[in-house]
Amino acid sequence: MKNYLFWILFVSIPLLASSCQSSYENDSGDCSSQSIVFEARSYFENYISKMNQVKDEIVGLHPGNIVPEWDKAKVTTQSGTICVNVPFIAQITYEGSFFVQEGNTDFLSSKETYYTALYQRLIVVKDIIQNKISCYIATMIPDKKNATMDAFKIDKMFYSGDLYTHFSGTVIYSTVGTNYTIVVEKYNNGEKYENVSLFKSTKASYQTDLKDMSAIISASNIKRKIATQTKAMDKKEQVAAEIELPEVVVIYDGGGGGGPDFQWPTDEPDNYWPEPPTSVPPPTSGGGGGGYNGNNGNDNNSKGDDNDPCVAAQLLSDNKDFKQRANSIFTKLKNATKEEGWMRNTKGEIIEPISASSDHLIYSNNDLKTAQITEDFHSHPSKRGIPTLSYDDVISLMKMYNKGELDVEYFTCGVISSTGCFVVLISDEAKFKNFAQIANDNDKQSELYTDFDLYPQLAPEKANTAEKWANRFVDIMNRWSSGLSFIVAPSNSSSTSLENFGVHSKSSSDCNK
Amino acid sequence: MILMLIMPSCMIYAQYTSNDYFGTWVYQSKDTVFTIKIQKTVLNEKELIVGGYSLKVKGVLTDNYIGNPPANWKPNTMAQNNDIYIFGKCRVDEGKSLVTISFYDQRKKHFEGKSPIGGGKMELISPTQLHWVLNEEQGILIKEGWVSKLIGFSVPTDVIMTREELKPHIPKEPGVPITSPIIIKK
Repeated sequence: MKNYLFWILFVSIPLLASSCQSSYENDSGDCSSQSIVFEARSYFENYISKMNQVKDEIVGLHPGNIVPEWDKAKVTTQSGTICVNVPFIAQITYEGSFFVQEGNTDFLSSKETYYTALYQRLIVVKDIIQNKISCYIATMIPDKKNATMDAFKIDKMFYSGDLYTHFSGTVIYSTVGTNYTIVVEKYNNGEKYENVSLFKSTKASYQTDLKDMSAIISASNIKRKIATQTKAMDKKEQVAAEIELPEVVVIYDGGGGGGPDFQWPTDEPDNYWPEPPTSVPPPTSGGGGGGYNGNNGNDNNSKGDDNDPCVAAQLLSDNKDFKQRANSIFTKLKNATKEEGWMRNTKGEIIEPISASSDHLIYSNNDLKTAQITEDFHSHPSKRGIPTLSYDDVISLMKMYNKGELDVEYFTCGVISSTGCFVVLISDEAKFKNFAQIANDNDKQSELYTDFDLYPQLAPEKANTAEKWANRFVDIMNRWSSGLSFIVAPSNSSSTSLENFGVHSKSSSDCNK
Repeated sequence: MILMLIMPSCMIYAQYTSNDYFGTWVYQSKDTVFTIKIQKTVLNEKELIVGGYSLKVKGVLTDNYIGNPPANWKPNTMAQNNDIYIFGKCRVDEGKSLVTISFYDQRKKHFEGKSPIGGGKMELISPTQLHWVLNEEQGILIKEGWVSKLIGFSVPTDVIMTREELKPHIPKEPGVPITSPIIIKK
């Protein structure tokens, strides 16, 4: 039976986010994620509008008509990717039985099965490096321990792009319009132990990958239920009006259709997998933290907006892993007698200093040669540590750049002091390249040094405040056309953690645009 | 009328130029005499104030780092090799005029003697009085970001110095040139 669906966007659920008090959920709870949700919504509505009259058979785990609940969206961020998780009211829901799989092994416990509801959510994912957006339907299937017939309990178990999830079960990503299954992931307590992605498929491996997906899902029997009252806003009312349909084949690999920006393989042999998909893959989830930096395995070297201070501030604010590292140092500052810090490279490896003298950290040259550096943070201990980079820090930054040790597009460098965290990033590499020549020019070094000398001199009672000191530092860097941008996460001596990051007030970047 | 309102404020913030700093300045307290000699040099086509210092204790010249800095400074060797122990810029900011200075203390040798310590300033109180300030903590903060330890200075750190009178020296003995200072480097 062919069912032809016309994607209908129902009258939108009021999306109100006119102020910071909106109900958008995100890791940081700040206003900046509102714009990301707006952008995601705009993208999705445009995507759907182009799909009018597209005939799509209900295949796989297709949710049918959906009403996204944008006001309940949750934003996750990591390694150059922003993901908006949007719950929706669906025309179709699913439940089924699955074979039990023990932990992260390939072992299937013979024919033992369990029964559970499935939960589906729209995700809109943005690759900020390529400035590209894609959307998918994510389907969560909890494992036996977490199986439930209340689909809404599953809602809280997993968010795409959440590196700190404790989810156990299966996550399936499918295309929105055509419901091709493109990624299947298996988790045990947040650790992803199996993963088949068509983004890594080749023409030769495609059919095998599809079979592997089916095997990973381990479905015994899945039932599709269609709600007859699609306009019902009360979910319980919907459930009561469902019709159960025959068994579902989850992995659908038929041809035809496709989203407006989605190039997917067809059955034509020569067009089977001619090009890698141009879409943004679903984000990585689980398995611990990645930082703001790093290219997430993406070898694309094109210029993006990753070094935009507005984006960087957002990502650092939402990056739990980074904040954990920074807060760990921040809480020890008062009693510290040595600097602490870390570097992180493009492989995601955290590089610890091999020793710390009274005034600087020492890293192994071998460690620094492994890959380019994307994060370089250290502390200025005691209450009187300055809240910005010191003269030596700036010279060190120049030297690292001149040696090619920095992955400029993703690089952040910062200081953690008792007044917060001050971060610089290279937002104009041409200018910074010129500025960094000072490291090889004694004349200019002397000149820069005397400039640094100025900033505690005038109105010392004002310069002694962190804000004043930071302002003067920014003034000096701007005067030298350094190409650097600045973001700050303030704090105070009574606090035990850093606040969210924001672009420094003297920055030329306007994040409200 | 507007001019009348503006003029007093200009007078209050009467600014000295770098020329007003050039010369020799002396501070004496009991048996210690601290002297600095300030002159002009050019670095990257920009004027810089440079100089040296000497210290005399109980009539004995213990430190003498007053030499002849170059008129054009190319800092491709250490500043001390160019007889530069003090250098800074004359600044006018927020209506205030002063010279921010970096100082090479030849006894204490901050930063192992490789870099000068900033955080100092010279400020003219009058054409013949100069406020000399060294601030070790600030200097270390600027360079290193935080202070692990302080080692102090071997010269006065916060004193009012007086411009040395430009009166002619009369040699006590014939044949001793007036303009040949004795340089003792340790």
